[in-house]
Amino acid sequence: MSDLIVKAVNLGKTYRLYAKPHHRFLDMFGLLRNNNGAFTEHHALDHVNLEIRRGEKVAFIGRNGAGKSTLLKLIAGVAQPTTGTLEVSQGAHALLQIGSGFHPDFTGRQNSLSYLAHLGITGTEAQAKLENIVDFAELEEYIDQPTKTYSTGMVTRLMFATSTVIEPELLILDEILGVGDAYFSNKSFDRIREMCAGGRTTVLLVSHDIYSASRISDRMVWLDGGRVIADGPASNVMKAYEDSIRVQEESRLRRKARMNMALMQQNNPGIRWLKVDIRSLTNMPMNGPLFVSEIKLQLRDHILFADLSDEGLGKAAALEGVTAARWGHFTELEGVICREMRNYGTPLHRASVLLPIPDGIDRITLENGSLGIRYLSQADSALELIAYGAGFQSNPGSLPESHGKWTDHVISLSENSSLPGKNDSILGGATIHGTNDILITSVRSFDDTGSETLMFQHGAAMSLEIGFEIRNPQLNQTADLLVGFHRDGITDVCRFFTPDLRFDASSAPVGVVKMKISKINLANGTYTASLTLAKAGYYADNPAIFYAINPDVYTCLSRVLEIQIHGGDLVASGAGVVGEATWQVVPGKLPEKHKNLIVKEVG
Amino acid sequence: MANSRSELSAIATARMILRHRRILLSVTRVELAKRYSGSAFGLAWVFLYPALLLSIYLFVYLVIFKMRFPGYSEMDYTLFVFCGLIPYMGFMESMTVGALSIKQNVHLIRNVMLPIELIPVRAVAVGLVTQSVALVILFGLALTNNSLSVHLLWLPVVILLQALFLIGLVLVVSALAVALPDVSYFVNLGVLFLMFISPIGFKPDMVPAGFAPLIYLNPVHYMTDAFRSSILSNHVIDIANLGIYALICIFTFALGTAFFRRFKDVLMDHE
Repeated sequence: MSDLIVKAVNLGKTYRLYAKPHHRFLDMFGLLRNNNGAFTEHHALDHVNLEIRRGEKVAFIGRNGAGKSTLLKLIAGVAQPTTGTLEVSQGAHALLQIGSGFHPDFTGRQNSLSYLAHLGITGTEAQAKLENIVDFAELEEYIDQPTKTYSTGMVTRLMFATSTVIEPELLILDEILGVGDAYFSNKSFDRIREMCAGGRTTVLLVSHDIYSASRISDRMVWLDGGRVIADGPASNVMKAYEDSIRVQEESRLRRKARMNMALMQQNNPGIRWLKVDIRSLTNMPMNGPLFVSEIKLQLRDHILFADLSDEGLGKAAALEGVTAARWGHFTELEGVICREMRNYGTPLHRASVLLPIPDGIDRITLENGSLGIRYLSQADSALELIAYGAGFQSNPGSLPESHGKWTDHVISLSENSSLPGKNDSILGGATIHGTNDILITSVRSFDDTGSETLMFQHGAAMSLEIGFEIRNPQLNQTADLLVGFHRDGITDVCRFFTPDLRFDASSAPVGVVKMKISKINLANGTYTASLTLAKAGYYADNPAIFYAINPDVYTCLSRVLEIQIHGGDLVASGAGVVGEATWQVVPGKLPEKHKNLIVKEVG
Repeated sequence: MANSRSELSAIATARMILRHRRILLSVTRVELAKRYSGSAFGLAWVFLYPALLLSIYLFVYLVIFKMRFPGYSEMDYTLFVFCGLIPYMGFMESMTVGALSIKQNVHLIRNVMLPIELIPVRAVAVGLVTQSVALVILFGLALTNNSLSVHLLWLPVVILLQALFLIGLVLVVSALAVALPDVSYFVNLGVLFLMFISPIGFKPDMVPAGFAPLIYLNPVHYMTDAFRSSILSNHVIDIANLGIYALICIFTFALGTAFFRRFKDVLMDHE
């Protein structure tokens, strides 16, 4: 076919990411014989087959790193394919990078002429083009000023106008649409559309904004992981792509929700693990390393040993949200296998181990237990032990000096153990406060069809199911429940409140609160939900004590659920809540006395 | 483009340069304007810069070092130094600017505005402009001293060969500098070192016998000799030296273009 502009068969491109700059240099000359960790390979494109004909306007869409820009670079001839074949007819002009090549000391005129000179356009032809450029960029007054005096927007406009003044056979645009303000952005769309109106110019473009891409292109190619996922009419591919983004977004929200649910489970009375921290009492660096051979928990009829292996310590670090290991390798010291707690490498001067607690061990048993540690330190430092569990904390106290000999120290966990139930914990962005007399154990959201989801259609129904567990067996109370939705995690834009929920420990120690919103009026966007369950009258009495330590607050879950509202039209974008009202057109004149409130006549 | 694979790289590159000569001319002009844009004297610097530079060298060699050859007048010596210094200025500028040329002009390649080979060639063209202006000053001085040679007619050939030599070198160093920026530092130091050991302010036969290879293995020696042969009437012409000069230039061009052709495809991957 003579009108085939681009033909790619099994096209592949592999980039090498080098460990050191000189590896790149050696590899360029084929001197990097065997790859001993000198580089890793990244397959930017993988078996891509593509045919593009004259006059087609093709948009490449996909997430970051999908290979879109790499494909355009190959078609532009800027980079060479690693595998496969690529045939491109001549006459390509690429705009792969807007925003460079303009000299700040040159005037706008000089810069434009210099750009054109690089394309071989000089003399009267260049002058004619220049007129078009100045006119389009709307820079008549400034064109003879150095571009360093321009605002960013002015430079962008001039660059766009200059680089689109020519009419190439194949125009390649990488993320350069929609530059400038809204007015110029529209103008630039028109310009591209005009360029390809004649049907001679073939346009290939990459844009993260699929909606603006769809304004120009009639065909879309969806790339993911270097492969073509879909190729066809713009509207079909766009729909498939949107659906996939929605699914990915939903699963991201679900992951986040799972984490928050895990936090709520953790807040339950059963203690599954105990984390033991050894830390500097003064938070000053230690005088020398501490060697630990054993940490054990002695309970009534159990002895539990802490897992000092990499896996065990890794778990402890993960629980803390810190990945850096503060433990050295296993060594043997005076015939004892031990691990070194380093006195460097972290500003925290702290190291942790994890003790898994078997089922059936309650808080009382734990508090009667004791913690044993076997350690040696050549240069003693002031160190203390702290034990944490879900809803449990104990500060057993400081470690005596070992004077360079293996020392066994046993401390009772009942020392300084904190009050049960009074617990604040923070994990994954969500926080939990409250006395936990009534505990919220789960929060789930459902759409109008009853299926569980975190993505809601604007204006549709939504219901929440809030699982609870009453921990105080004497409790029989009316409670207030407040559900607040905040935008971007800060401002509450919408609150739902009920003052009349009855919680009775004797009849229903566990249960679910169902809440139904028949119509969500929240505007499009992402919202986080917070739940506060408090003693009846808490809100009416306007308490003086901060909610996090107020004894009337049973549970306060903040930012525990993240939902997305979509599908609202223009009315629901940019707003907080879309209100509802009844409207009526009443015939007749406005009463005389109201008139001057509305229209002030001049003169 | 399609049949250039089967051609010799040197011939393909030469053809490519010729085909783009108009663009090359205009982008060289733009490049020069860019260099001096924003300055008070503007393009006058194209003349001012070499004139002032030559004055500085003259002052150092004649007033401070008080160098003089037997049988040479002050002016004779000045002309001798300039004949070496001026082509070296062209060499120095092309090499230092050329080494960074691709790295600093990636946008031209990205936006498919210039064939990648033309960027180092442009650097050489700019370097040779300064040299040409300085040469005009030199002709004026030689004319007043009555020592302008009739062999001046050969000068365009000498400069063309020099251009081939420089293009060959710059193609190599600019490609290397893309992968390893350290190359450009080595080039700057190398050019500085060469200036001191090349026969610019002294004659090759003034060098002690032990150091003779330093002269005879130095391509700059043949370059300065060719310039002196075609400009100065009192210079003794050594045909062998001129032959070697031509060979070095053509060989360097062939080598540089072949090297560049081999690596230009992977060049942008390393940028």
